[in-house]
Amino acid sequence: MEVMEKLRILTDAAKYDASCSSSGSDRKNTPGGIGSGAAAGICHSFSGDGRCISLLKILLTNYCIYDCQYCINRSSNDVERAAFTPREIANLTIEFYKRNYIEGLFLSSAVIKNPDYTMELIIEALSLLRYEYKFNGYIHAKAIPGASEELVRQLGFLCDRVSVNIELPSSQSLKTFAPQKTKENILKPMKQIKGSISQSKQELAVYRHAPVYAPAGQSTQMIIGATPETDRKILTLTENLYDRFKLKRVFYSAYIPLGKNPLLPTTAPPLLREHRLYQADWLLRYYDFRAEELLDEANPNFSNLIDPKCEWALRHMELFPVEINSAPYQMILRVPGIGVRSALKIVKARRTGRLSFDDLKKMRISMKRAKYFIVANGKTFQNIWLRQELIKPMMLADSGAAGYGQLSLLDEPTMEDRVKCLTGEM
Amino acid sequence: MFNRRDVIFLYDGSFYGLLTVIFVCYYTHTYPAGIEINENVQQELLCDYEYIETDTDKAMRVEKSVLQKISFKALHNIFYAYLSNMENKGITIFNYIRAGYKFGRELDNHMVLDCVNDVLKAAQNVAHEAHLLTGFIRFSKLKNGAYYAQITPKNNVLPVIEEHFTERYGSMAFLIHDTRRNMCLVYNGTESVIRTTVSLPKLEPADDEKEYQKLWKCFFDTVEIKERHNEMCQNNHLYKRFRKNMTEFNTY
Repeated sequence: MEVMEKLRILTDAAKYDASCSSSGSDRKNTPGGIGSGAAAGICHSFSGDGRCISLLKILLTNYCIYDCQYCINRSSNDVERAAFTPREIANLTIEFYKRNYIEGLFLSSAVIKNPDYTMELIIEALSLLRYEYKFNGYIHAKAIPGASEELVRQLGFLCDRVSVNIELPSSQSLKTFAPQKTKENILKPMKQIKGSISQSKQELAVYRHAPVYAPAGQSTQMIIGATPETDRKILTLTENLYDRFKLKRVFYSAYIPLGKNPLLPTTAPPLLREHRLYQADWLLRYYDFRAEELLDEANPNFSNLIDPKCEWALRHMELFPVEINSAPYQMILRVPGIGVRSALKIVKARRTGRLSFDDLKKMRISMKRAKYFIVANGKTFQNIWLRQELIKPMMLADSGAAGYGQLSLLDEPTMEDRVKCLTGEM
Repeated sequence: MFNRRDVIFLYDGSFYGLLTVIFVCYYTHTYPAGIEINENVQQELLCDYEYIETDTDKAMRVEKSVLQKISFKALHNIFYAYLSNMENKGITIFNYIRAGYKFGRELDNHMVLDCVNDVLKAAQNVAHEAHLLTGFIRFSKLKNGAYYAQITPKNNVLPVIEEHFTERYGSMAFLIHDTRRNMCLVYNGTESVIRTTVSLPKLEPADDEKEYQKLWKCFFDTVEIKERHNEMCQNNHLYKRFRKNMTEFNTY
C-alpha cells in the first residue's frame, strides 16, 4: 500500500482524538538535531471543523483486537485497515516538520495482537525519531492500557506528553460498551505516569542532565453523550483527575454516532454540551472554582442558555456587584466576562490611580457581560439599574439581539425562549 | 523642558536611527511635530524637515538609559512597537519614553495613558502576529536543498521570528521572504542575516516537494471531522490573509 493511502486511512481513524495541544514543553534543540518545543504551543493550521492542527495526528495501525462499541476502529466494524511501519512514521514526521507543517507527532494506535506488541511498535517509531533523526520537537503518544510497566516507563522518556484515554465517564458504561477494558487497567498506567513525572522532577532538581519524563505532563480524553452520565458526574470526575493524577488536561469529545449497539444513541449530543464542559474545565483549572460550586444535586446539568460562570454568578448575587477598584484579584476573576488577562490588567492598572469605565474600555476589557456585575467608583456602567431579578433576562436579551457568538455558534434559543426569559418564566 | 517646534525629524528606518532621533529631541529640548521614516514621507507645507543621521553611540546611550531608568520590558516594548505598522509610531514611542522617565519601572501599569496604551497595543500586535506566523509559515524544499517560505505580514516580524526558526532548524538552511517589505531572513545553517532584496533568482522546487505537499493536503483534508464542519470557527482562528501563502489552501 502506498504511503498516501495509509496516511488517509490512519488519519481518518485518528481524527476523533480531541487532543492536539503542543504546549508545556520547551525542549531545546541539540547540536546536529532538528526541532524544539515552544512552551506556549503553536497551532500550525485549522481544519474545516475549526480545530487546531498542531501535531501530525495518526494511528500506527487501525487493526484492532478490541470491540469497543463506540469506536470506529472496533474489530466488528467494516472499515479499511492499514498499518504504518515505524520508519514511514519517522520519515513523514521529519519531512512535514522541515516544511513547518506541524509542531510534532501525536501517535496513537489501535491494539494489534496485544497491548505489549503495540507499545513496542510505538516505542520503535519514537526511538527512531529521537535517536536516529535526532528529533527534538513535540511528541505526544498514547500509552496502551494493559501494557507492561517497563514499556510505559520507556515511552515516557521518549515523549513530551503521554496520555491514557479514560474513554467513558463511569466504570459501569465502560463495562457495557468496552467489555475488554477495565477501570483498573486504565487507571494503573495513569498512576504510574504520575509517579514517574514527579520522580523525574525531583531527579532534575538534583542532577541537571537527568532524563526528563513527559515534561508536558499527561492528559486524558473521554467521550460524552454516548452514556447517561450527568454533567455533574463528569465534572466531578474531571476534578478528581486533576487533583489525584495531576493531569494537565482532560479532553471531552461529544459522541459522534459511529456505533451500532442499540444502547448507544443514534443522534449526536449537542456540541453545546461539550462546549459547556470545556468552559467549566477552564473554571476549574484557571479560576479556582470547584466542581460542587458549579453544579449541585438540584442542577446536575449546565444550562444551554448561559455559560457556567454566569450561572454561578446569578446564583450568588449576594457577592455582586464588585467594586473593581478595591475587590481582591480572586473576586475580580469570578466576574462573568472578565478573564485572567483582564483581571491581571485591572489589578495592575489600579495601582496607578482609580479606574473608571472609560479606563476599562481603553484597556480593551469587554463590558458585554461584566457590566451587570461590577461597579467603578460606586457607579454602574452607564448608570444602568442593576435589579437582581432583571439581570438574567437583560443578559439573554443582549445575546439574542446581538446574535451573541457563543450561542449563535450552536443552537440559537428560539424566539419563544427569549419571550419566556423576558417575562421571567425561565 | 521641551519646546514645541513645527519640525519633523526624519530617520533612516533603523531602530538605532529612531533612538538617535529621540536622543536629539532630548539634546535640543525639541518636541517635534513628527518623527518619520525618510522615504515614506509626504512633504507638508507648514513644517520643516530635518534628517537625523543615525549615530550608534547616541542610540546606545538612549538604549542604556531606558534599561537603567525604566526596565528591560520597556525596551522590549519599544523595539516591538518600532516593528509594528502603527501610525505615528515615532512620536508615540517618544511619548512612551518620556512617560517612562517619569514613572520608572511602573510604566506599564499606566495603561490608561494614551502613549503607554498605544505602545503596548502595537507591541502585542507584533508579538501576536509573529506567534501566529511561527505556525503558519510554509517552507518548500528547493533543488539546492534549502527551504524557502514567503510571507506577507502586516508588521515587520522577521526579527521576532528569527531566533525561533534558527534554533528549531539547527543545520537546515532556509530563507523566509517578506514580499511586502522586500526583506529576507537568510540562514545558512550556522548564521542568519536579515537583508533587503530586490529580486530573487528563479526558485526551482526539489523533485519530491510536490509529493509531500500532496501528502500534507491529504492529511489536512482527512483530519477534519465532517460532521462537525464549522467554517466560522476556522475563519476566526486562521485569518484569510495568511492563507495565500499556505500549502493546504493552494494548489500549485
